[in-house]
Amino acid sequence: MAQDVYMDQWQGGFQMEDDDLGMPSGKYARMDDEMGENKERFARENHSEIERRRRNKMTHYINELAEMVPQCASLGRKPDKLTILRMAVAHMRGIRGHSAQDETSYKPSFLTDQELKHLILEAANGFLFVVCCQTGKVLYVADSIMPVLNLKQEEWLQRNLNELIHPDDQDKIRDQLCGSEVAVNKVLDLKTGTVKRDGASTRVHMSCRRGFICRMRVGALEPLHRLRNRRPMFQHAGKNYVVMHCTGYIKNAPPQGINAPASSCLVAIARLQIASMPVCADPSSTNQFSVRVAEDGKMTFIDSRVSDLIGLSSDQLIGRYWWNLAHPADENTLKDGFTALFNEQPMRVNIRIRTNTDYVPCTVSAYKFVNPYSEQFEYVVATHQIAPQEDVNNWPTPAPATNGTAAPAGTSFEPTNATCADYGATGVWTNDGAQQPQWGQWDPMNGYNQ
Amino acid sequence: MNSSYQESKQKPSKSQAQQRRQMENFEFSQLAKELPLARAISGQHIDKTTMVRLATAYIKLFNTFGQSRRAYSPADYYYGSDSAWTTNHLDLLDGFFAILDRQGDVLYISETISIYLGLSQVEMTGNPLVDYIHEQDVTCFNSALNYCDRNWPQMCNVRIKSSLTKRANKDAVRASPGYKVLRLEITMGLNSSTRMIACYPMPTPVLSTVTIPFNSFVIITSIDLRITYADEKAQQMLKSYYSTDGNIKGMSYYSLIDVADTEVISKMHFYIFNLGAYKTPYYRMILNQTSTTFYVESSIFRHTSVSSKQFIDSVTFVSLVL
Repeated sequence: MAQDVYMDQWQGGFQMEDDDLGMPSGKYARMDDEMGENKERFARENHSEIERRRRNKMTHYINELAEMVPQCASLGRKPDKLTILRMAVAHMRGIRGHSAQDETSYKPSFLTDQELKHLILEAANGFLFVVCCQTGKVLYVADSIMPVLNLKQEEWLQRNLNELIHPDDQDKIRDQLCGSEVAVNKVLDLKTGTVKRDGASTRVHMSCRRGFICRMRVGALEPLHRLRNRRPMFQHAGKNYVVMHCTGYIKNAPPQGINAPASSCLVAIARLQIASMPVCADPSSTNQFSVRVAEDGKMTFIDSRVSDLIGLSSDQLIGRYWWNLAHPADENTLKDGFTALFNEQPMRVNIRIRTNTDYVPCTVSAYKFVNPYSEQFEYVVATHQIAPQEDVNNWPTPAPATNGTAAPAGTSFEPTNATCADYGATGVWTNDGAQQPQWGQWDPMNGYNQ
Repeated sequence: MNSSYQESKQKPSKSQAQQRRQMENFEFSQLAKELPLARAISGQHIDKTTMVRLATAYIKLFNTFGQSRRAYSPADYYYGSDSAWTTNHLDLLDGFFAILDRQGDVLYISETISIYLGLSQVEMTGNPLVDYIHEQDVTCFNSALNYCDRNWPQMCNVRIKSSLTKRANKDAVRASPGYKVLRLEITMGLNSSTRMIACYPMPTPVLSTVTIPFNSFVIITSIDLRITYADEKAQQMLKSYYSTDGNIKGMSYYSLIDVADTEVISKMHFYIFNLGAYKTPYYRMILNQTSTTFYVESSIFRHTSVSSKQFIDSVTFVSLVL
């Protein structure tokens, strides 16, 4: 039967072609017949192939279903299709009956509302909240706020949102609550970088949509288990804040079931993007700092940990030659290493580096970063790991090769007396105030004059 | 004799088969009724294979959550009394969710996927998610799936099939027509073999324009990330004291970021060629070439266009200060 249909279709197609071309049948008639037969056979084979595949797929799915239905699994033998179906229906009824919703209000869904809420909490670290646009008061917050922000529902309810977010974000939130979409979004032309203020292309029903980032206060219920060792955290006035992504919409009236004066409300989900957060440095590596070095050997960026570690501020160091950071005796080691980097040699050396009062032993490792597209040199990244005191005692004292010789010429801020190369002799520099490097009074232009 | 024997044997079996089919069809219709789908869908449009596929996925999903129901008592803070408030959760988000089983088959996918990608929940449930991911991105997706751990959620940017994209034209030579770029955040599920994925689509440029948050700043670079344009806000925060007028034009984007986060951008640089759009994790930029840094999150778009005069290939960073 089905094949007849196929045949008709093919033949019909050929007939039409004949008509279209206005060709007399006869000479071509036999050829059409042959082709028709071929096509017919082809179609039949094709069709049976499709049918076979469909049956295989069905068998596969039915077997999989049988594995999932406990009644089938307990049979001990492989049940037939009809039995599997019957048992599956019974099992599904058992599951659905479990959720016990009345038919009228029941909206069929794969997940119950509670399960969905759980999913949003687990997969997005998110919770729902409702804020009155006029007063900024929190009208509602889901209990799932607790594992996310580490605080109780009651700490949010009826409070002003401004008290719960970072002070620097308060203006931003006001715009989101009161402004129209034009005030919260702009349209960028990727071709030119020009910005059109009017969101003409945005759909009407999108105009009440909101999406923004703000920092929310983290509570002190228990140690920050959700964040673990992912950051960033922001501190302000002794309080911790985390970045939350909020999405939702403005409603004209408070949602049903909320006892609040008539006013527009923001209904939104706030979520913590843990996967976006950088992995927080392992506490044992806090005794290291990074430096970015330009092609000419000058430092162009130093992370702010440097001031805690060696007592010199990064502002004092930026613009100077990288090797000026080293003990005069080790300057050449660093310089040679830097040159070698350009010959694709990775670098890892143990040297002494300067602090505001002294020198400390330190392991320097560096690599050359090239632009992945143009393969042009971008900069050298150097990590300085200050050696812990117990390791220092085991360090072989480097042969004082440059002992007694003057520091490289031109480094006017260097003490000329480098005889005290022994870094272990703490206090030498401090005792000899006149010879102490005057880092504090360093003139930025000095770096360029060298 | 022979023929009558055949007839007598065939007839009952024919009617038996017919009867069996009828009974099967009845059970199928019963099964369709039990599927958690709107009556309008379950009544008509679903073929039998789909019914069985959906039923299997639903039972698996129930088993997954059934375990969690036992794990968290109702008194636990995970479940509260706010069920009246949870009905529109999916509408509030700017993305959708998926739950995958051990094999990577979809146990659950939000119906809101149709808003973002034009794909249907009914079609995808029970099928492997990788079937919908661009073949070049499957490795990246699978490794994110595998590296995901209880304490280490993973994120990745991949292209997923979509019926809502337009064909490539000369003004926007799209990296892969028929696909949309999504940022996936993968978390370990309720038991260690399931994975929960939050999927957030990147905004798709319409006629080379894209809607961006009002307080974001924009930097446009050439394909090697040399800056060709920076808006006022970007210029203000990132100005360089080393060039005469503090202009950051011509500088490398790499020189604006904290060295500790270089990898974030170089990874993006690698992916943007294939994906055409990318969302970064949080990374630090350097405030005015000092040692102070600030956290940002960027949406990145590659814009290519060919005209008779020139071939434009640019990368646009739309960044938000955290």
